[in-house]
Amino acid sequence: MYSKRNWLIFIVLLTMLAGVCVFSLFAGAVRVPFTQMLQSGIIRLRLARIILAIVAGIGLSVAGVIFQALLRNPLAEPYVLGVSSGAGLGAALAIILGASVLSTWTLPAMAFAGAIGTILLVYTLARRAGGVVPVHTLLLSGVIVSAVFGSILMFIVSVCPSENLHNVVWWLLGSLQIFDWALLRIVSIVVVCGLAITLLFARDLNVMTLGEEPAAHLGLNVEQTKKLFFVVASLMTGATVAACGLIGFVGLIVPHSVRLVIGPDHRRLVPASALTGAIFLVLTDSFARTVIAPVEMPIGVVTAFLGGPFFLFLLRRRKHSYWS
Amino acid sequence: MLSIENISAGYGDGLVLQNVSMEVKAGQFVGLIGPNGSGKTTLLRVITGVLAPRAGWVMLQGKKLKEIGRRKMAKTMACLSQDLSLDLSFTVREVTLMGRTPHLPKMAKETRRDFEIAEHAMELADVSNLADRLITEISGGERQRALIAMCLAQQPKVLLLDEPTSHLDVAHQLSALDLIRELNRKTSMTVVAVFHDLNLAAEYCDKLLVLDQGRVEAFGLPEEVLTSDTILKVYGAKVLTEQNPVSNKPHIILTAGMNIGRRQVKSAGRLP
Amino acid sequence: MKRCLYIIGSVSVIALVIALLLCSDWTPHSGVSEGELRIVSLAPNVTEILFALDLADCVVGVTNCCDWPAEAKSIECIGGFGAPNIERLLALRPSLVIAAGFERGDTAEMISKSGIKVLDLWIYSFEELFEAVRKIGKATGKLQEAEEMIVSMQAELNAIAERFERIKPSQRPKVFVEMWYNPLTTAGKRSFIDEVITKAGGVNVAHNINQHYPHVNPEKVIEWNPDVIILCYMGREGPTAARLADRIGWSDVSAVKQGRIIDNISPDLILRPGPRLVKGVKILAQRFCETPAEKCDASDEKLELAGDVR
Repeated sequence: MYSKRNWLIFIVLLTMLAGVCVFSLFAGAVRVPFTQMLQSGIIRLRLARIILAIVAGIGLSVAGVIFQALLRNPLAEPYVLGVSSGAGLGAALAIILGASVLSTWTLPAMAFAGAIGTILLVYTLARRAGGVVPVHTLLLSGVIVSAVFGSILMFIVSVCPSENLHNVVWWLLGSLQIFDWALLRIVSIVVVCGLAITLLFARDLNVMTLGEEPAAHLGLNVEQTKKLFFVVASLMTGATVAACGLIGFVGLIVPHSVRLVIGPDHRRLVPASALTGAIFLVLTDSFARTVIAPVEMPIGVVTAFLGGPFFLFLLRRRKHSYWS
Repeated sequence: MLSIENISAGYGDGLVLQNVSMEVKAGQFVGLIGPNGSGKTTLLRVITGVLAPRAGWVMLQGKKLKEIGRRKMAKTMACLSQDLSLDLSFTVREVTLMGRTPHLPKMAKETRRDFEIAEHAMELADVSNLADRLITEISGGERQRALIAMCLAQQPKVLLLDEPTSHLDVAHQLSALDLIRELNRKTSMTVVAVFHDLNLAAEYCDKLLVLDQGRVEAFGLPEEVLTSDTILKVYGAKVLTEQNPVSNKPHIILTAGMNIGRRQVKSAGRLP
Repeated sequence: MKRCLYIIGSVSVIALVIALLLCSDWTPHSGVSEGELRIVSLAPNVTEILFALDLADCVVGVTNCCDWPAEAKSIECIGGFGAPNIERLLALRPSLVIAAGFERGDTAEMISKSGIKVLDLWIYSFEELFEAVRKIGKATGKLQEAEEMIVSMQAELNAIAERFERIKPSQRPKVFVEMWYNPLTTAGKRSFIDEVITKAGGVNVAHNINQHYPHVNPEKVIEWNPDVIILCYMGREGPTAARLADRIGWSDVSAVKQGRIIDNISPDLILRPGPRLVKGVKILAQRFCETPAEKCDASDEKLELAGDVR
């Protein structure tokens, strides 16, 4: 009796995604006449941007779902383990040291390294004897590492010359601007693989929400499952941050909103969140680059403005929440 | 069925259990009792393999736990632990189906047979009428029965329970335990349960293991084990005992005023 | 015992009060004698102007960005752009502090309270530049030299303007100046470089955006289709000319197709509002002219590009 409702939801989501993509293709700072569509470099640019929005939306939402399930905490989101500070630090160093002269890849690579390095550090700090990583320790060490890296970042920002200061700050605000097919390709591959793995093992995520001991009693290899999902979520987040900077809100709000509608079963939650995240980012991106064209708004601002009220609306409407 | 030999186990540097041994035959209903901190939950953790013992071993159906894989173990042994978090609003049916996890191959979906087993489990646990309700919206007693249904869906030969009746009112306590005992009698499911309430332990269990500061104080029939002397020694409380007129099991009578000034109350302590 | 403590206590308090009274001023005065001119510059362009006005000997303090001329680097550094270390600044006993914007709003007030004259010059156009030079000249008693400098700068600008006056604005090269790439940042109408481009005979494609340094959508650049792109990264280097062609959709842009990407002008020449700015304009005018089609009135003067080219 669930099945019909679920299929309906997925069809609606897919249609919405297609619709939003088409809308986004036409919307923008520049009007492109239909006849020139296929030739236009502008359309190619927009297409790349839409693909990045889809990929980032999927990456952040699914990572958010995973972290919320594993950490069993409704406040968890992709940046909860300090990824934002670590990636920001990597990017700031890249900008200040002028590493971007080496290649267009240096900045994203250093941001990615910062993100992954932070997660590794957090994981290692939380590790106990016997390879066990209790989730509350993970959360705590994530918060602490995030604070430490954040203060290092602030220190760097305060002493760096003012021209770099602006560049670092604007990178931190996030942007879906993409210049380079190769970077887009790599990020897409990482996110799509991550999504596939998560979908395959979504049932295990359900069991993990019962707690680690109960999950072990049900036959799951808890440490292995945790490790797998953390790696997947971290790589997806790291890849997204490397390409887009920090886009807040998506990883927190989308999983909760989707859970309110479709329920906590991760076999439905993960694909629905992926689609919703993609729709959300494509929509907000077209908004961000159209509203005060030709000037662009930072995407993080738009996600907060649009996402926040929508989530509050959903929260008020439901009689019960899906996270008691 | 289940054989525990010379288990010593603990957390960090401390030792909670020392030299604990117990033999549970198939179809027996064994109760674990003892004061707080005596190691009951720890023993349960060792039996399920979650905590690795420092010494000794646990044998399930003649094989050491280490040799049985986690999944295989879960097909034979189900455990209802105390710290199970039910924050997310799954339905009772979905929670019950989670009990089928050890039987499902890695990425497979549940089959019709799994659904049937889950339905049967819910019937046994008397939560069929709640199948589509959200687990966060039912009462504590109903939730406990739903979790029992989840354990039953595992089709275990051994059921372990950690204080299955705490947080339940008297009606639900009795109905849950009656259910478990019925399963124990009818399907020969072995049950090992930690009890807080000595009278319930005496009523329902075939044998009782009394733990005192990590050591086995006694293991035997309730009438042999539950004497005022043992309780005085282990719990440090003075009580009267008599026989339950219906079941002939021992019954502890709690009387006010018998324990005033008893500075000898045993404290929960870990062995050095 | 208690009496002892009281005596020691009162003596300490009295000693403390005397020490505080003797400990010179709360409001530090610069203690500069009349007629002595000691100038602290808080911006690199101000330093350049001061040196051009022959005031090198009077400059006692500069910032860490003041790198031209070379002699400026050997003067004591008292902080960053518009952000002086107050203690160091006061220790130099300056009589005049000239800034081009302060990082913190209350710094100017703090300095002037110490009895030091403060000039805060915000320069966003040539008019404002000339006005600033005049003000500096007036404050330092070099008004005549200042006026001469202004006149000579104006003359050079006019000479450059003559070259392209005949060319209609719609046929002048469209110029896109890229300040940063992530997000894409350019210079709008309110920036000084907008006027620099105009004075060099180009048309800033972002001229209609009424901001200093707006972040624009890369699509817009493709639409504008500039003839020349200036890469003007203020910090360390950014992408080189070759990389622009790799950007999605940018291979259609005229400037990229023709390879008219200027990435070897030191940004100080075209961003720093100082005496060298006119040289920057001259170089730009030359580069804007360099197309096979346009034959502009090319003078044969060899431009001293050494030292101005990265």
